[in-house]
Amino acid sequence: MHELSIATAIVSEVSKAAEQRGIQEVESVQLSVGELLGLLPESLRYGFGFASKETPLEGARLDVDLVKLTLWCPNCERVVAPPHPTSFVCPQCEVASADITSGRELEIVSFTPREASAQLEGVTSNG
Amino acid sequence: MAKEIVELRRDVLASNNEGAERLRRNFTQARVSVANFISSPGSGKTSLISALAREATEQGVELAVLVGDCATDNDARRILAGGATVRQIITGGLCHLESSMIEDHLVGWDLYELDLLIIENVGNLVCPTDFDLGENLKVALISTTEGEDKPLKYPQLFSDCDVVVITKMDLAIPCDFDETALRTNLEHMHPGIQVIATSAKENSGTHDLLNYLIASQFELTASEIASGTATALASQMK
Repeated sequence: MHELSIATAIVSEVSKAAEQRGIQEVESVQLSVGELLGLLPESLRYGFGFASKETPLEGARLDVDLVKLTLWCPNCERVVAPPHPTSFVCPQCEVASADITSGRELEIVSFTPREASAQLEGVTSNG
Repeated sequence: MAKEIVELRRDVLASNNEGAERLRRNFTQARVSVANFISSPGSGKTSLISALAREATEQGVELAVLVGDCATDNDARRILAGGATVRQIITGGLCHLESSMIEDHLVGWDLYELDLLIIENVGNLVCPTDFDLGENLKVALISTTEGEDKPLKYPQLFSDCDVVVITKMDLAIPCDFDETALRTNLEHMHPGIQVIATSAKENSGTHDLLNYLIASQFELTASEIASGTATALASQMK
């Protein structure tokens, strides 16, 4: 259920962006997901399959990049990676930190249009 | 010609977040404190809110409650009996509330007349965490009948919330609830997190919690909250 809501939001956002650019079909979507969100890529793809029916994203591939949890350690004064996403402590000095530097991402990084050469005529990437 | 990638760099929940920011602006302008209550089903959200409603009536605090459930308006009826203004949001199976539902269900309410709005989210520790509702306080509830390691199992909520409320303290002894172990687990997950222990049945902790919820929007000091003057100050500042 959780993944389906997220998949629906992805389809909605990318459909809107594709329409604005005159893109009729999307081949793949690149997604960045923080591991703290506990989203399962497989469930996300399963939900995406349903959510994308009869949209420009139907049949598109969902590429998920899982982003590890990292924290700012106030003691070591640097970004550190805890050994496990339920442990918010520095692996070096074992000081706890609530200052999360990565691991909460939920971002549509990019998408790839199908038959880009035909569809992208006169349209440039905004990145 | 090679396929061109369209860079989007957009939050998946951008539409929800935009709605939440609109709400937050309105809440701040009207100086109403908004608390989003998130917990497992059966952790005692409704009982606690009913107790807070009685406390609010006694203190002259204007409280309104939005109650989210997949089905039935039973919870809204229970809170209504406590004396608060209540509206039920039936999500029709959706496991969380979204900002558009809050916007839709606030129509007709004058935010300027309220001191506090409590949003009782759908009982679920996962999905509600991702959806910003424009609140200034994300409140995680955990009952003494749940395991002390719950924060470790649901890191997203417990690392992201502003305050943790322990409910059903009246059941702490029969359930062998270890408050120290819970606090230690929370401290690992969210160093410095505020924890308030309550019992809706015995009406303990509800006075402190109500003051805390109101004071957060008005940026009152800890001593003002402790001395119970938060409510008085909040109404003065309106």
